[in-house]
This record gives sequence, structure tokens and C-alpha cells, in this order.
Amino acid sequence: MRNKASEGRIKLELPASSINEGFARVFAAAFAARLDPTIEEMADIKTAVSEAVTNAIVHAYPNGAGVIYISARIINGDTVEFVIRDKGEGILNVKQAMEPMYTTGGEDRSGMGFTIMQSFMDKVSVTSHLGKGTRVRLCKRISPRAAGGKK
Amino acid sequence: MRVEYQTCANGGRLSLAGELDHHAAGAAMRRIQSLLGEHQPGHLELDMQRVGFMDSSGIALMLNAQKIQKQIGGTLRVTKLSPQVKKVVYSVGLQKMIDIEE
Ligand SMILES: Nc1ncnc2c1ncn2[C@@H]1O[C@H](COP(=O)(O)OP(=O)(O)OP(=O)(O)O)[C@@H](O)[C@H]1O
Ligand SMILES: [Mg+2]
Repeated sequence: MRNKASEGRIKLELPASSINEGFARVFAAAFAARLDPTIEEMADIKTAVSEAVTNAIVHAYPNGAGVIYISARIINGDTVEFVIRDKGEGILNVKQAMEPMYTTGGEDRSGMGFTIMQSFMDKVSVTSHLGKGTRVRLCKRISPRAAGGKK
Repeated sequence: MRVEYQTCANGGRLSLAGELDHHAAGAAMRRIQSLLGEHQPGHLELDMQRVGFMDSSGIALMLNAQKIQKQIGGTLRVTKLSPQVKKVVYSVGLQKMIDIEE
């Protein structure tokens, strides 16, 4: 059942360390559970948030120390919004960075993170300022299920 | 993440277990590299059955495993993908570059 309790914004601050990637996914899943998503919708959200958080760890703070700011809220009663922010390096050309296979990482990166975010979420918007940081906003509408039934 | 290697009739099987994210991928890849160097399997099955979650870090891992196999003249097939892993793989078109089960 959906109710007004889904209003308000929850904020989380994470040290930019890879050990926290799993925690960020669990946070995203626990928050999205408010809208009773399917298993697939839940997996999509975890995957997209994992990509954004990993980017902050890998690209925003290449020297390790830094903080990642995540906020979550429900919009219009049916859409989850996650905002993942960092105060790291920033991106010079966001349009180019979002192209499939574009990466400034090494062999262990595929340049597919933004592509995955875009295919798993309804809306992905990125703003960034060089030397100041990056903000990634991810939205996904969770279609309501009929009482007790499937979507 | 656990990485296990088993010798099979025509090569070997690498089984991964756990969540394949950036945190896990570095150590997993180093272990895969050393196992493949040691055993040099002609054909390698990368068994994903016990991988409950994977993100783009897993894509790079699969591509790197394939690269190593090609260098030593072997082949690679990725098998037993969960729905989440399959969706990530197909969303980036990896099935066009790597032999994926189904
Ligand atoms: N938070 C960020 N801060 C600075 N640069 C970023 C950030 N997020 C992304 N980028 C830049 O955008 C590029 C593309 O990001 P994307 O997630 O698509 O690929 P990747 O991280 O390089 O590889 P993959 O996600 O497949 O492991 C990165 O290589 C990096 O240059
Ligand atoms: Mg990325």
C-alpha cells in the first residue's frame, strides 16, 4: 500500500571508498521498496545507483579521500529519485562522457556506466563543473501493482 | 568474491560467487589472470551462476578474460547468467563481442 509516508528526502553521506558500494546499493533498494517495485525494477535501481556511486569513487576522487552525497525521495507518489553528488574532479564534457565506450579509466573500465544508467532508469541528468564536482540525478517510475497481483 | 577453477574435459571452468562490482573486480581479475596463466585452458567456461549482482565492472572483467584467452589461443563462453547479469550484458550489447549462453 502506498501512502503519504513516502514523502520527504533521505540523505546519506558515504566516504568514497569501494567498500561502500554495496552499502549504497542496499540503501537504494531499501528506499525503493516503499513503492513496492518488482524484482526487476529493484535490480535496475541497484545497478544504476551502483554505477553512479562507483563513478564518484573511481573518477571524482582518484586519490582516495572524498565524500559522496546521496539523496533519495519519492516524486508524484510513483517515482523514485536518487541524486548522487561528489565534490571531486568534475567532467569537462558531459555529453562526450555519456557516450557508450567513452572512458578515461584504464583496462578495468568499459565506459558503459552511463549507458547502463540510461537504459535502466527513465531519466538520467548529469551536471558537472571541472574542479568542483558532479551531480547525477536518476529517476524511475514504479508502476503500481493491482491489489495483491502482478503489474 | 570467490573465484574457483576446475579442470574439465576440453578445458576449464571458472566459477565466480558473490557481487561483482568495482570493489570485488580488481582482486577477482588478478586471480583469474593467474589461474588462466597457470592452467592455460583451451576452452574456458565462465560460470556466473552464483553471481547475484554485476555492474559495468563485470563487463570489463569479461572482456579482459576473453582477451587473455585469445592471447593464449583459447576460447571463452559465459554461462548461467542470472536475470540481472543478463540484463546488464545485453544492455551494452556484450553478446555481440562475447559468447554468452542463450
Ligand atoms: N563522478 C564523476 N566524476 C568525474 N568524472 C566522471 C564521473 N562520472 C563519470 N565520469 C567520467 O565519465 C566517463 C564515463 O563514465 P562511465 O561510467 O560511462 O564509464 P567508466 O566509468 O569509464 O567505465 P565503466 O562505468 O564501464 O566501468 C568516465 O570515464 C569519467 O571520465
Ligand atoms: Mg562508470
